Parts: sequence; C-alpha cells; structure tokens
Amino acid sequence: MNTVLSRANSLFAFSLSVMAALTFGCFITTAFKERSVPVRIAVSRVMLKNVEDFTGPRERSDLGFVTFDVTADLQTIFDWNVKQLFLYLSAEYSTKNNALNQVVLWDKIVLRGDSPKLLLKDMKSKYFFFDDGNGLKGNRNVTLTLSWNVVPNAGILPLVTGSGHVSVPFPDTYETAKSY
Amino acid sequence: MGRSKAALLPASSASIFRTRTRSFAAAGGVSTRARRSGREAAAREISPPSSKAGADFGSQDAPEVSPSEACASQGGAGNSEESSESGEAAGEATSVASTMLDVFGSIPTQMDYKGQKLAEQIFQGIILVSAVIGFIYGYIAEQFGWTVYIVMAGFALSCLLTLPPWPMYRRNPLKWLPVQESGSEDKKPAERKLKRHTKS
Repeated sequence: MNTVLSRANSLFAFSLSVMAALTFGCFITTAFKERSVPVRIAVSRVMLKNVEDFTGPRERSDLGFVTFDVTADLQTIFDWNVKQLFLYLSAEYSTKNNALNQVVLWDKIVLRGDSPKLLLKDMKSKYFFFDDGNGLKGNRNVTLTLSWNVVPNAGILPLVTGSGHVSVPFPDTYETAKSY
Repeated sequence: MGRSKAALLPASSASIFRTRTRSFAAAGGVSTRARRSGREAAAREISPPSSKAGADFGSQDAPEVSPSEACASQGGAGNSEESSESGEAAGEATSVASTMLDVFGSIPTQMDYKGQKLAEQIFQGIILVSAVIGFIYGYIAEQFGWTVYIVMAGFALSCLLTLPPWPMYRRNPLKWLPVQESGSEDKKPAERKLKRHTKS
C-alpha cells in the first residue's frame, strides 16, 4: 500500500470481490421465485397437407398449419434479475411411430421493458409443423402449450411451462391445391 | 553547510519545503552517505530524497541507488544546487524560479504506515457502503444496472480519496535517529534501519 499502483490494485480487487458478492445476492433474491403464469391459447384454424419432407428421406409426410391466438400477462415474471424471456409455442402429440412428439411452432423474445402483456391474435406458425410420417391425419389430440425460458442477469435459466393449454383435433383429410 | 541540513531549507519559505525537511530528516541515513561523495552530491541530494528515497523504502533498493537515480531524473536538482551553493540571501531571486521546478520534484508520494492503514479502511468502508446502498436501490428500482452504477461511483470516490497521497496520510511520520556525524559506523545503523523498513 505504499505506492499508488499497489493501492490501486488493492482497491480494484476489493471492488470486484464486492461486485461478485452483490451479483450472488441478486441471484439469491430471485432464485426460488415462481415463474409460471396462466396462459390462454385458442386455435382458430387447422389445415393439413401431405407433402414431401425436404428435411429428410424423400417420402411424403404430414404438414400441419395452425392459426392460433395467445393471451398471457407476463408482468409478474420480470424482476431485477430477468433480462429477457424466450417464449415458444409447442405442439405435443403421439402417433403410431412415436409415443411422444414435440414440435415448436412459434417463438418470440420478450425483452425487459417490452410490453409484457401478450395479446396475439391470428398468428401463423413460424416453423413448419412436419410430422415424422403420417401421424397427424386424424389425430385426435394435439396439445399446444406456451413455455418460456427465463434469461437472468445472474444465475440459472429455468424453463417454465405456462399453465393453460389447448388440445385440437386434426382433420382427417388433406388439403390440396390451396397454398398457405 | 553544516551540521543539520534543515537550516538550508527554510530560506525558501514554502511549506512544501518544510515537509521536505521532515522527510529529509527521515532520509538522514541516506544523506550521510551522500555527503561522503562530496559536497556537490550532497547539495544535489537535497531535493530528491523526499520523493525517491521515500518511495523506495518499501522496495528492496539499496540506499546508494536513490540519490543518483533521483539526481538523474530531477530537472530541478541543478537549480536547487545552485540556490544552496550561492547562499541563502543571494539565492532568493533564483530560488523563486527554482521553486517552480522544485515543486514537482518535492511533491511527496509516500504515505506512512498509519496513513496506509487509514487509506485501506477508507476505501473498504466507502465501497462497502456504496455496495449496500446500491443493492437496496437496485432491488427497489428493479434494475440491477443501478446497483452496478452506484458501486462504480463508490469506486471512483475511493480512488479519488485514497490513490493520491494526501497530507492526511502523512500525519505520523517515522521517527528516525538523528544524523550521526562521524564516518563509517553511520552506514550500519542507516542500513539496518532501511532493511528493517523493507522487511515490513
């Protein structure tokens, strides 16, 4: 501590240690918080096509198109340790080929400071809803749920499912000729 | 030029020189060595010890090094030599000019031990207080960014308060033994003193 550099070194190291302790404190105050909120999803239209799956072997697979509405209030999830939320809508169903299929249809990033009330109507899916085979035709139970990943400033990234889901039956016939 | 070097310095009357007197007395061991190499070296040696030798006490530098390297780096060294050699009364005019350059040479940059302890307590206290304030404010405002800004402000404040060697850190200077006039047995007590210094 007898030279300026020695004092500067000591001061800086102490500041960094204090900053690390504060960051840990920030994490601890929000680590055990409940991050699930009620979500309302409604599906307005379902269409089914049977096309060649360009992502895999050249056989025809089912391709689904879903138009949906999402309503949720995410305000209580945001606190001082949340940087952004990564929302995604996933469809879950089972077929002859596979017991469990989960496909992400749509996602969105909600930053801190963006409007947290989600009121989306007539959204088209962002990603192709391909099935591994032809299991969507006539499928009685395709469940859509909204989940999110909480991206914090410090700490763990929890994956939370919203409470509220909707099941839609898929049509028995394929649409032809009409493009989406 | 005599028995006590302190007699020379008050001629220039600035309080800086008074401080220099005290720390120069602290470097008394060094001055005895310099005097052996000649009167000129001793005169040149007046301005450096406060800044260089003091700062070097904490390191392992041998005492011989400080006057010579200090002399090399001090632009004002030549002027102070001139003012001391030409006598106090006649040197009044030149000493004003030399004061300007000497000011930079004579700004002391060391702290004494109690001052170091005080500086450490000050900066730890400031940063802890700003951390607590920042944590509470960030929690209330729901923005962790504010916590970081407040801690950075505390860091800047404590930099300002503890990095430059303010006079409040020099209130307990070390008490050196008085300068001993005769020959080679001066070397040992001075060296021993300095060695003890560097060990801590």
